Amino acid sequence: MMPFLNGLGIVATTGRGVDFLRSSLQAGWHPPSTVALPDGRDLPVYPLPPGALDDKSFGRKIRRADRLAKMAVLSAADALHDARLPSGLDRRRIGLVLSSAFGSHATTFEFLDEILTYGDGGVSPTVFSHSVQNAAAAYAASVLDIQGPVVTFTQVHFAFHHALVLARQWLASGRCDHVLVGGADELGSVMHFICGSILRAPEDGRLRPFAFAKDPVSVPGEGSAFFLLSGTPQPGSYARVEGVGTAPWVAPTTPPALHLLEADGTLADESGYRVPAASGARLAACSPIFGSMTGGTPLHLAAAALMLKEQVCFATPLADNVPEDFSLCRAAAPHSLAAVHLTRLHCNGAAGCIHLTNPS
Amino acid sequence: MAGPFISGMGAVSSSGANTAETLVSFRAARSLPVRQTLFESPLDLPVFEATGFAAAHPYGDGVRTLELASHAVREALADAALEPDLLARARVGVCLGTTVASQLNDLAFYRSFKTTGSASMTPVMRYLKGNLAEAIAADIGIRAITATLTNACSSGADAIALGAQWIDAGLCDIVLAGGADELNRVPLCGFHALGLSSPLPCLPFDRHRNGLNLGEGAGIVVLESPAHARSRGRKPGLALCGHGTACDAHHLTAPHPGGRGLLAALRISLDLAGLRPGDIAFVNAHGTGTRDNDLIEGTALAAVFGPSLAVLSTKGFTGHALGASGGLEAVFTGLALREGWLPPSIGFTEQDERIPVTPLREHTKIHGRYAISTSLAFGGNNTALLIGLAREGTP
Repeated sequence: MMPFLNGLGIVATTGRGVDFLRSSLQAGWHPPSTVALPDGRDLPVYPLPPGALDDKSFGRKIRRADRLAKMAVLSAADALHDARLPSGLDRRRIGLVLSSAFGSHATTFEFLDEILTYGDGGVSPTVFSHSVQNAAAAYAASVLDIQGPVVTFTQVHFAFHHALVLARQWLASGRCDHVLVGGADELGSVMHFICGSILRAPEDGRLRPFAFAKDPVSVPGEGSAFFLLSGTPQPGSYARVEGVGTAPWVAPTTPPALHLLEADGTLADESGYRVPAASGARLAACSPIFGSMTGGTPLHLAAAALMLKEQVCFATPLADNVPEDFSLCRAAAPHSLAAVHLTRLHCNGAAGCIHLTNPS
Repeated sequence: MAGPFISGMGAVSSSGANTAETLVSFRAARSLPVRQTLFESPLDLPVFEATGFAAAHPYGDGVRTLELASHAVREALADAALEPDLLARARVGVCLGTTVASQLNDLAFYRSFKTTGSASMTPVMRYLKGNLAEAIAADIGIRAITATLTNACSSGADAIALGAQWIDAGLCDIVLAGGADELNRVPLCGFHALGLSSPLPCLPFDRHRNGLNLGEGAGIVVLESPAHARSRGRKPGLALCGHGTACDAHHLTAPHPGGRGLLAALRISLDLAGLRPGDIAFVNAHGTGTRDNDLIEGTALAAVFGPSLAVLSTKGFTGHALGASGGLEAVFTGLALREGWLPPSIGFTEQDERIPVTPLREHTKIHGRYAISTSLAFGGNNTALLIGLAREGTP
């Protein structure tokens, strides 16, 4: 089964929706904002823009939802809407898979704060129920009336790849006609502190995906992207998912027209990206747009899918550090793209790869 | 018999540090809730603590979960006669469900951050390196596809269903699947706040039930493709014949009043196995002891299988082990089929007239080859695992 990405929803530092994604990819790098850490340092970050999660169209259904759940609901709803499926779908045959590197950590810390402030017997039941890791998927399923299987993966590495494998399997086995598959990760004050403690921030705010650094810099980001995955294409399909997997990296048997590397400074050593970068394909990277996110694969996949659909290569931001011998998208331009390969590395040497082809 | 073989099983809970000890507890109908001893809390609630497993490290949040999982995995691998060289040659997956081990819920870390603006990164690094499935693969020294599911209380069952799908899709020959969770202060406070904890030993499906008791443990099955199992001379025994998962799409913490998702999950599992409700010898129910869960679940089970269904909840033996419960109860279901008998549904004495099934009150001989284990979860997840026992001579 090689399903189709028929709908896309995204909310990230680029804003909410495909139009903002396109314009951000066209505009290129923009400086991060900063947050103050408790020790007085400034941490560069790529948060959602103000108001990105303001949406009254769901009424009371997401009134109590936390930030992560709102991200998931809005991007999943946008993906479903974007696919323009016919009405009267059998909701029992639509599934949903959510991936996250860290899950609802901000609400978890809020609950810990409740324990410390009010004691074990005085905590808020609402905060607890929202801290459960599948709360975001549950909100999305409830709001969108998804009655098929709903699964959440929470793991630092490759959570989205497993989500995509499962979504494909549900379609291949006939369990589902459509699957909403996506990911979400958020920033928060404690995560800012953690990032400021264990990651190295660039002095100039610039992420350098092609530095292949042994001590890389990172600028934490947040966001969510969802895709409506179906066994057959719809008018306006973005891409076909030819392959997805996690294994030691091997070059694609047929070099893709474009190889998108997710190097974003979240590995302790990013020199390993030099190997897939040398595969001979034209290279691109979007991490300077989205920021650094261990669970950022769905955002990068959104960019890849948009490039395939619109047959355009967007310029890689901050290309000043790229070795001369690499073929790089240096200016946004129409390009005949038959396939795009997306690669994210794990510190244990494994690679998560997704291979997309032109749906037509 | 369709579906991947269940080549091995391992379990650790308050009922025993392995499957043999568990059977002894079940035979004795022994239930041992205690006042919790693993952490400080003023909440005086009975819990079910796992004992007797090898604890190698001082506990941090999530580490006890890893040790529970590791203990059960080793038993399951031994039961499956899977030596390291066999694992090294196979395509292996590790697919585990949890709740506690997926969260960075270290109170000491947060207290330090809140009061001083700084904190040791040790708990953070422990969390980053302690992803349950990845850590277990590293623990047993294998290269594997690893995934950690966090579907609240159905996590363990959903991980087993995912493992079966990896085998069906040809991704793996062998998958170590199940769930693990430790007793932890955070869910203890949370379930108490929700009004779902009982101050007394839990009474699943009983008229006077008033809440759950938390437990802990790990339940692991070794799923193996029939072709791989036969290639190493394994005879058919237990198999995961079907699995169904469906969402209520209703409420974050309350089940759908009509049991919509559970009914769908049960029917999907039967369809996948090619079986009818009458083929099911018993159901090992989720049966937490809360007012809503047991009413909705009992009603849905009766709607599919009729009121005379043999049904039990093992929560009276183990408490509610959250992400581990689906794994533990799949193992218990397999053990019962293999042994040919069921323990009583501890805690059930008086019928609730609104619940149209009657859990077992005594040890019962099993007539049949198929059984279902159900899991219901926050977020409206419902999962049914249909386990079968091959007849002697069955291919």
